[in-house]
Amino acid sequence: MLKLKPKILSLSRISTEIRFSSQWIKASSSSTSDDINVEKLFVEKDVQKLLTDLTEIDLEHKVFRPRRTSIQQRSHFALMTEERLEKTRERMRDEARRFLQFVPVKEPREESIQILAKDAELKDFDSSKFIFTDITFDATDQDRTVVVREPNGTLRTANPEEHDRMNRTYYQKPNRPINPPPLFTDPYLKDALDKNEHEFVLDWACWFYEPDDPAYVRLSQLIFDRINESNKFYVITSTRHFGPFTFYLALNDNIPKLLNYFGGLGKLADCANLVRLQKAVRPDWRVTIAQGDSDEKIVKDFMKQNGRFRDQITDLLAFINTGKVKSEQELEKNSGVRERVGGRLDNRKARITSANIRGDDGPLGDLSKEYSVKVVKSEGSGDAEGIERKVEGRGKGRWRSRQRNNDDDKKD
Amino acid sequence: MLATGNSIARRLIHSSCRLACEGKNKEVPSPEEAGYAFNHVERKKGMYKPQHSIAEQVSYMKSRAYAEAYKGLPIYRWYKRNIKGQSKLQPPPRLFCIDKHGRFNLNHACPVCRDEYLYFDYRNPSLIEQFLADGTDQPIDILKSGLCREQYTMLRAQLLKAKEHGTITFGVEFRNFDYRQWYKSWLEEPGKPVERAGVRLQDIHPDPLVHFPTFKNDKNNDWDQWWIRHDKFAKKAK
Amino acid sequence: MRRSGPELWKTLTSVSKSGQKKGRRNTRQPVRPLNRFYRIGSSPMKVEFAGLNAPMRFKEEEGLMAIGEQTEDEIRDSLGGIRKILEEKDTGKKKRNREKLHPMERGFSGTQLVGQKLGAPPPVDGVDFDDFETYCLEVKRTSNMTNVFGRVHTMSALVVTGNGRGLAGYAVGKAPIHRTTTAIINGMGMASRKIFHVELHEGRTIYQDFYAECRNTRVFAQRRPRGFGLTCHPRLIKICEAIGIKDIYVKVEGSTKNYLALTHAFVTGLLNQETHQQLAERKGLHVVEMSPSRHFLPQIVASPISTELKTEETLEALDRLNLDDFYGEGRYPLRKPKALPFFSNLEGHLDARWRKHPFRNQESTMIRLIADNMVPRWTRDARAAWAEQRNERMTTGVEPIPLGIGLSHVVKKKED
Repeated sequence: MLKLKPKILSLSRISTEIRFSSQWIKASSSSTSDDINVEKLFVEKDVQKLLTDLTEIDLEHKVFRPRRTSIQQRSHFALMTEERLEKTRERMRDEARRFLQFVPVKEPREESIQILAKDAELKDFDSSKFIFTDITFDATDQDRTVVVREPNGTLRTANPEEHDRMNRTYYQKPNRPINPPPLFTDPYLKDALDKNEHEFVLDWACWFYEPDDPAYVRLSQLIFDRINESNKFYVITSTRHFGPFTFYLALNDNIPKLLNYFGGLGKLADCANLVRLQKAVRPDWRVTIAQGDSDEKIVKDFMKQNGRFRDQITDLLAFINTGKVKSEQELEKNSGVRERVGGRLDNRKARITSANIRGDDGPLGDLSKEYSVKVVKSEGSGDAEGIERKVEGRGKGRWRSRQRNNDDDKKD
Repeated sequence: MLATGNSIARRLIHSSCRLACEGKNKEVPSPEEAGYAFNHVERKKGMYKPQHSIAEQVSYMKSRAYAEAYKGLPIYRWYKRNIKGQSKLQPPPRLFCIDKHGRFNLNHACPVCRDEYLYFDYRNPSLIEQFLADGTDQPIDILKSGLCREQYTMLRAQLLKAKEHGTITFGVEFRNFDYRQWYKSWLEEPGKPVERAGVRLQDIHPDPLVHFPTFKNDKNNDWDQWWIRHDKFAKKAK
Repeated sequence: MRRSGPELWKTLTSVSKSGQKKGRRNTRQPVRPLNRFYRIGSSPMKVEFAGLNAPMRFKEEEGLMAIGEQTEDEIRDSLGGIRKILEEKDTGKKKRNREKLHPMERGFSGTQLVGQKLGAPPPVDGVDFDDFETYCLEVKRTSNMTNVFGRVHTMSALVVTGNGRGLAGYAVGKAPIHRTTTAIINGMGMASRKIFHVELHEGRTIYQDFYAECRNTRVFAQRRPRGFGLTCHPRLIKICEAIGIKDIYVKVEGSTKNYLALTHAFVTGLLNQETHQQLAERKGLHVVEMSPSRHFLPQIVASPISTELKTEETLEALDRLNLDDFYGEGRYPLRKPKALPFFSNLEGHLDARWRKHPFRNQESTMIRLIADNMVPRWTRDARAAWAEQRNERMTTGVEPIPLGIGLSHVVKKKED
């Protein structure tokens, strides 16, 4: 295969050659994989559109779930009308769309090095290698020149690992230590994944590594495989990694479990989009999808033609046949995901509405049987709910008439 | 005269050196002699702190003894430094409660040293999280925590270790990608970069403050000339 | 002129009415039992008076007075006698036990009762105050001028009591002078009868920032996030502990020593708060929380139930005001910029900072090395031991000696 020698001066990450087999396609999965340009495929308009459609925007539980910040700040309270609230939510949804920008799917950089000079006179100048990093001001992390002088005198370019290590050494960023954290290896990775922290690991890996670092590609594929095996799709739905994850599954013809997940939730449109994605990614597929096909037809066709997956898509079958959606179990699993941020659940009491003010699930809870609630609309100030209560010998004193006493106190 | 001064100094230095050496070689009592400073022992000075495994620490923190002793509050709430005066003007924290041999060198040790089971370890994140500011991944101020400097250093080191081993999660910064850098065929400009950490409320929700016009009651005197000119100037500046 | 014993004592112990007003009551002395100190006739020259300290003599030839010899023991006893008697006698004034208190038990200052935890108030009408904790904020000696007695002094104690869950009460208890504990107990009783309830947001802080004033004491209170602590005047810390507020920032301006005014102001401000639900009802708008940990995503906390929801058209200008400014009357505490110390720009200080500059990374390096398991404890012994082991490994050749720029050769150490 033709291999173009990348020049040092223009070390851009655009790989110009077509690989024999892409790193994103596992050898075991499919047969006709020789000339797929994974990056080009990922960037295509319809693939990107399908991926964004598949990634739902769950503001409360995923994109803007409570995270640990670096400084303590107090919550802000505001008074809003419905319109303003909607407008603010729209703005947050736009922010969320930017937060859901996919991590670039790139082929890993070549581990090969280029020998620049062979100076045998310099042999054994030292017992260790010297690494030279160019720290000119306008070089970016990807563009930087890093060369290594071996003890035997050869001058070579650095391999990706050394290159990134030098970047991390000289251009330190918070939470980007020089050596990769032990979290990215087993057994710590396994422990973290058992605690459903896939998003955290992937986020940190994306911040730590470059997207085309071979280590990052390996790590992300490992995590994707584990998610697929353990059926824990809820950990990366509505995150920035869902796009690359779905793309990876589609490349490897591995969508039945995800289909099953969507089917279990009753999201037929997502199932259909997934099938369309698979078709877009693998055009040489057996299934033909016409333009005007409805979602249900597409899904049914897929099921008919891929009978070998029947045991994996039971939920989908159940949904299509009976319309049953397994919602409670999903909610249970989702609640496990919500236990983040110091183990504290986002324990907000249920909002008091006219529906639950008198019931068990309202503010009174169990006491609602003993006490009756009378909602009194008062003029302007003071309490709007008068709750009839047994007097317990405690002075009511200032509490009731406090607004009137306000002026009196201030006159002092 | 000078010579005698020098020789006196040299003699003093020699004698002090000898004394220091003798002090270093003084016998340190072994743990069997001095005793172990268990939790029920009140005066711990001179005793050795027992060493426990991490599993013992975890089970201790879940036990009834711990619940009764600390009543669900973080451990630094049950410790107050023994100083005269305001806590705002307290002296700098002490260097260590336990000396190099492992013995306590005072009776009123800091909250982590004084409990025989407690020490910072990345495998037990609940103890570390007690000393983090709520909702953040940064430790609280050393003066507020009441720890000695050595334990505070251990806290920070174990916090770093816990983060890197995944025991404690934190909010990772968001990395904004410019796709034009990574894909040759991408032509769209990237959107506005977003960040998780440095966001201020004003950026997202502008302040709905009502503008009340300035109340100027100085009319019919020379002063309102000043105001008229100031208004013109302010308008020009806008 | 011979006067009797009691008459003579009366000159020392009695004070006339006018003398009392002029403050002569303090200078009076108690009647001393002279018999205990001095025995008539005991001296080096032991004199025996018949009928007084010796038996009566009716025989004519010896006479009524005889002089005897004192033994050595008796001489010694008489010398130290007074001191011995005084030691045996116990001091009349009851001294408060000056035992050292544990730092957690101490109040505002030393062994004084002010600021210490004083337990639960006595039960009233069958209601026990089991969970209640009282603090005495201030004990002072006040005076009042009356027409009968003139200046009358009283002990006054400001006591606050609360159960840490929203119920609290404060009162001033008075008692006669020097009866400090009586005053405090009276105050406890009164405070337990004057209890108010304060709603707390999440059970730990106030709902809104407020401003309140009483006399010359102005109080600016701001709510704070969880875990912040009580950053306020020490008396206010005790009040907040009693009420159950755990995170707050209060700035007190004006008179910070008038503790009664301070308590009045703070409690007035607290009672004038509204819960989110009440605010929503009053305003007819959603109360929305935007938390920084959620990237300021709006989440409805309270919605009006009995009143209608306002729309954008019916909104007034006042409704658009920032909620943080609602209860502050438009006032803000004075914020002085943090002043640099006077020596910040002097040569010696800058010189010292430059000398410390090479060591600026030592702390972070230490943390990194401990996290990388170099040594279990950062002591000189442990680090020296680590260096020893590394030296061993390098001399035996297990680990390569790190040569490089500036470390070009390995030279054997000269044995002196």
